[in-house]
Amino acid sequence: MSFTDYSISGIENSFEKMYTSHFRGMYSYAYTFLKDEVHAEEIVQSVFLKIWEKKDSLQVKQSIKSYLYRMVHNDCMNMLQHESVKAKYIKEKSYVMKNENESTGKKMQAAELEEKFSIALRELPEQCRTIFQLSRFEDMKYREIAHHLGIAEKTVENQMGKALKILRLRLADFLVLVITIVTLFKKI
Amino acid sequence: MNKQLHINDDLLVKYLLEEASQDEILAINTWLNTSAENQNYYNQLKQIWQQSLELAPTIVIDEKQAWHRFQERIATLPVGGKTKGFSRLYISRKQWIAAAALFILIASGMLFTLYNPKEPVIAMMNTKSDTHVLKDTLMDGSIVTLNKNTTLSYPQKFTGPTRKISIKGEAFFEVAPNKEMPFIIQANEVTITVVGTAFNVKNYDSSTEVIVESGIVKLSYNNNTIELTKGERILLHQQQTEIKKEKISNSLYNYYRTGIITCNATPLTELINTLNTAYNVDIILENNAMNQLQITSTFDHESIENILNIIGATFNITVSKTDSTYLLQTK
Repeated sequence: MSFTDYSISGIENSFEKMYTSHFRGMYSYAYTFLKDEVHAEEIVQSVFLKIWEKKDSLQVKQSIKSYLYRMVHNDCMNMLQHESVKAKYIKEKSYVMKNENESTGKKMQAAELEEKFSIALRELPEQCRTIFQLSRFEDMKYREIAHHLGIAEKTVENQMGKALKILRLRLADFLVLVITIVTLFKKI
Repeated sequence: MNKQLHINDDLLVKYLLEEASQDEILAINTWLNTSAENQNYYNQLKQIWQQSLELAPTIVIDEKQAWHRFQERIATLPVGGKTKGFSRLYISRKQWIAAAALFILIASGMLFTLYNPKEPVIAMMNTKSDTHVLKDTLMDGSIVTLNKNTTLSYPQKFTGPTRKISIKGEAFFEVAPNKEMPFIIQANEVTITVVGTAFNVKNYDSSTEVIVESGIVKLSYNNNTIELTKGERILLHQQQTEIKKEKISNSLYNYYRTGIITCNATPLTELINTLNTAYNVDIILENNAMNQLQITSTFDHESIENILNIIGATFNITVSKTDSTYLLQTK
């Protein structure tokens, strides 16, 4: 096992460095789950708080990045679970509040696709999801991902294949639609 | 070495992300050209890859500022890592048990949603309309139409858990739906809470009026709470203790947005008040008996003279003008 970043020591300076170098990525990770800026920041702040609290005793036997991203993943999943319970309640209450002019069909379809996408992404296992995140939203090459997470490049390759495979299966119905439109355009 | 490559998802994704080797690229190109089905399969993966970018956050967050907020938070922690009060909920113990962690996370999530302990200082902005009606879109996509001489105050950015604004004057709100972040308007002593709806607020020093066009609007005043729905209105005068809602009979309140003045058995005094604001004039009714008159008519972008002439003809009233003051007298 390797420390690919730097280990968490009691020195505040290195804590700040860790914070500022990972914050943006973690925030963007949380945001892709929660679609809410306030909650996304809250998740990341509380992850760092937990680490701050045990910074003297914490021993990370793996890369910091994979540790941090796993915490974000777990916390987001927990929050979503809680939110889904709450949302169900709100949905019932706000049913009457819907505006008729809320959105056109096109908008709704895009929103529906985004929603389906979010849900499909949530179904990816943690490591798979994190690797997908780094590749897609942080533009990292396979080699960089392997380096940051302290795993083999071959693993990144497998997990990326797996991620796209799962997403394709989950979104199959929508893709037919999108592709039909694309081919139609090509014919014209 | 030119061994036969088995084309699978891993390889296709590698190819898609330009991670594939020369050999692999050649093999995949051949595979893609063998059938439309192969091509289609690859296109689907590509489609997913491209589409997924839509989920990226659109707002760039500044990690230096976030670090500052974090420092403020740890500064409030007692020395030694022991915490008290609710903050204990999101801080770990020495013995880190998975189950406990899970519980703590959910509890802290709930706590943040319910109370949101941090209220960062955000610059307030004002939008003012003077002699013209003004339409403005807020950061969250809500559309506000300000009647003349109206001031709206709101934070530069809505950071949650609510969208809070305040108003002096009159405005029509079309609130962008967001049930996670209620929209709250402070109008004198009245607090108006909505999640996504359309309504009119008239707020002057002595009175506050709310009219709902669609959806539900919740009002709090003096520890009382009342819900208004479509077509309902409340009018509160200063020092008034109880609040009572009523059905509206016309859409006169809409005039500054539509330019059309609609009266449906509307008291003449109410129409005169509206005309005074709309045309920036001073219309005076000569005697109290006129207060009882009601009018049903629609004025579509008419001049003030025309409107007053129509009123005059309808009720057999003489209209005389001095400067910007109109006097209405019974014949």
